[in-house]
Amino acid sequence: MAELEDGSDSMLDITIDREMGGAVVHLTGELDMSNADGLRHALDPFLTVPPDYLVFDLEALAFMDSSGIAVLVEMARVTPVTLRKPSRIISRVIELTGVSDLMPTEP
Amino acid sequence: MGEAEERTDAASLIDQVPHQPSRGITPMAWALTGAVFGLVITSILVAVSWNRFDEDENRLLSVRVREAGLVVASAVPSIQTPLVSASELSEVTHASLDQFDEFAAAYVGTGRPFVSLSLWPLHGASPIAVAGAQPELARQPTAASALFTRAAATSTLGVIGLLGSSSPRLGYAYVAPGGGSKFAVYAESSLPHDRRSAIASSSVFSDLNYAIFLGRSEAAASLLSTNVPTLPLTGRRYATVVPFGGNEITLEMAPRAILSGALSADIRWILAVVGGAFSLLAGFVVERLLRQRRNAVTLAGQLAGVFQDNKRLLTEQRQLAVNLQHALLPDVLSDVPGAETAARYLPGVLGMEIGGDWYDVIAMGDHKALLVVGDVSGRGLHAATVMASLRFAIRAYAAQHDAPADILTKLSTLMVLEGTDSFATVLCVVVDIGGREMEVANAGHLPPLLVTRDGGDFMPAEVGVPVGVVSTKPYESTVVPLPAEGTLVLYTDGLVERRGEILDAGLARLKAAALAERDASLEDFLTALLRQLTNDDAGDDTALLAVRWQS
Repeated sequence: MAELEDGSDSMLDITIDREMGGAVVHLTGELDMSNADGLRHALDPFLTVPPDYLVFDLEALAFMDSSGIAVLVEMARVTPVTLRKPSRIISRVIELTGVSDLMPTEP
Repeated sequence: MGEAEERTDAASLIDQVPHQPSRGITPMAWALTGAVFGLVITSILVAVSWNRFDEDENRLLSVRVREAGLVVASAVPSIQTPLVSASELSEVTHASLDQFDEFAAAYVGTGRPFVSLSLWPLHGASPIAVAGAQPELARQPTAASALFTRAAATSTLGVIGLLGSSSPRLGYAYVAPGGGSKFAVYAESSLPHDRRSAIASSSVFSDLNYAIFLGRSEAAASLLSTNVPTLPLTGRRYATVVPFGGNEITLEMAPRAILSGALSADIRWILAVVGGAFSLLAGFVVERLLRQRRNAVTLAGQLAGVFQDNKRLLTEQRQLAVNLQHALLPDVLSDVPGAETAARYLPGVLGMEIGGDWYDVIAMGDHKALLVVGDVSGRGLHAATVMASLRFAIRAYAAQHDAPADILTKLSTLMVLEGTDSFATVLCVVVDIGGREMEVANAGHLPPLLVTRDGGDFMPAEVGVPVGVVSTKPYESTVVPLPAEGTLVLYTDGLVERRGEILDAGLARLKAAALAERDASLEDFLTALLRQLTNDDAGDDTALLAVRWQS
């Protein structure tokens, strides 16, 4: 359980559940420029040793902008990424940035 | 965020350096002080050890002298016993001369204790019987009388020194105590003519010079015996007075050699040399260390200065990068015949690092232009560098008249080849005023807004993945007819993104603002859009590009 808080506003909670071969990353709060690097850092192990799959649980994620998308896309390069239960806002961002093919959504 | 951390690091580093007030005292001065101090300490130690040595020698000497004194004192019984025996014999035999002679024979003569043994009447002036040599005392009847009186008063010997003549002698008188005796027994032993004698080297006293005096006086007249050519004894000496019969003997001795052994003596010199050497060495080391410390302090001061400089340089660098980015983004766009172009760039307030947003207008011949807007992921100089290379790559492809979709494909290949971890959203629109069409290719970017006199909307188009992201789906161009007049707005997500809001809300806001302001001049149009859509809290960069044509 990692809590990321920048000097400024956004709070992001990251929980990683390892499963057989893969992992589920639960994100709570808001993901934006101020803490995207923190998320990137927390996911570093997956870049070195890519799991078989990676699921991002976005149910409790209230906000995500392009910097968050960037981190997800980076992960999608090394392992199949699925976005679980993204909010409407986030779904829209995913569509508009053309990455929905890259990262399928799970309702 | 990054800069705050940096400042703390620099500040904490500076704080860790000990602050030295500037001193006028040089390391050499410290070293000399240290060396002098060391030498002083050494001197004290040497003095103490010398003192100890001195005390040791004195102590040892006094012990030896008292030993010798005991030896001297122990001579008394050996003298006294025969005299006592002689006295008793005389009493018993009523001064039988034959008996006396017989008795005395054992004690008188060469190699024997006495040179003379005589029997006197207690108050007589001359002896009744004499064995051996004539007593010297016989020549001094007054002295004899006084001696016997003294002897009668004590149960021990009366001792007299007859030291004046050419045959100096030591005389011992014994009178049986109790007052009933009529006789005095008197013996004399001879002293060396010059009172000089040598102690046999085998004697335990062979390492000592001595002088033995009768009585307490150390006058030459009282000298009984010595083994040195000249008196008084010099150097370290010790005297003891031992009772000798009714008299006293003063024994004074001086060592010929170190009594306590060589090491004791040498230790002082060893201490002095070693201590002195150490002091100098310590001084040397101290000087080196202090000099190094001084250098370190100077260096720390310089480092602090360097840190300040660094900070300043970094700030300057950032400002330079921002300026550069602005410079890269053309203020005056390429002239597109038949069209008007305008652009805005607004750096985000979050962090001081520059973003990766850019825009470009590339004239492509007759009434045709390629409009590009892009957003490189990440921030800072790396993003700006990637952005710059993308910009110029696009120019190259445009010069080849590559279609927008092909441009995106090539850009993506380029980025994957370069191995950068970045990717970028890119929107390429070829506005062909003469041909009355637009070709759009979109790599992960937000759709352009087309506003005409009649209305406006976002241009639908296939959205591909951002360039630099590997995907199986190829980029596709969308061709739409170009209205006779209109304004096309390209932008980056900073313009429309707002926290807690679905992106569509921001898009709707843009559309509404654009429609409201479409009659303004192009520059005013952009200004109004910015004013209405962004606020001071805008974190992300915003790039805004607009082209207006009328045919």
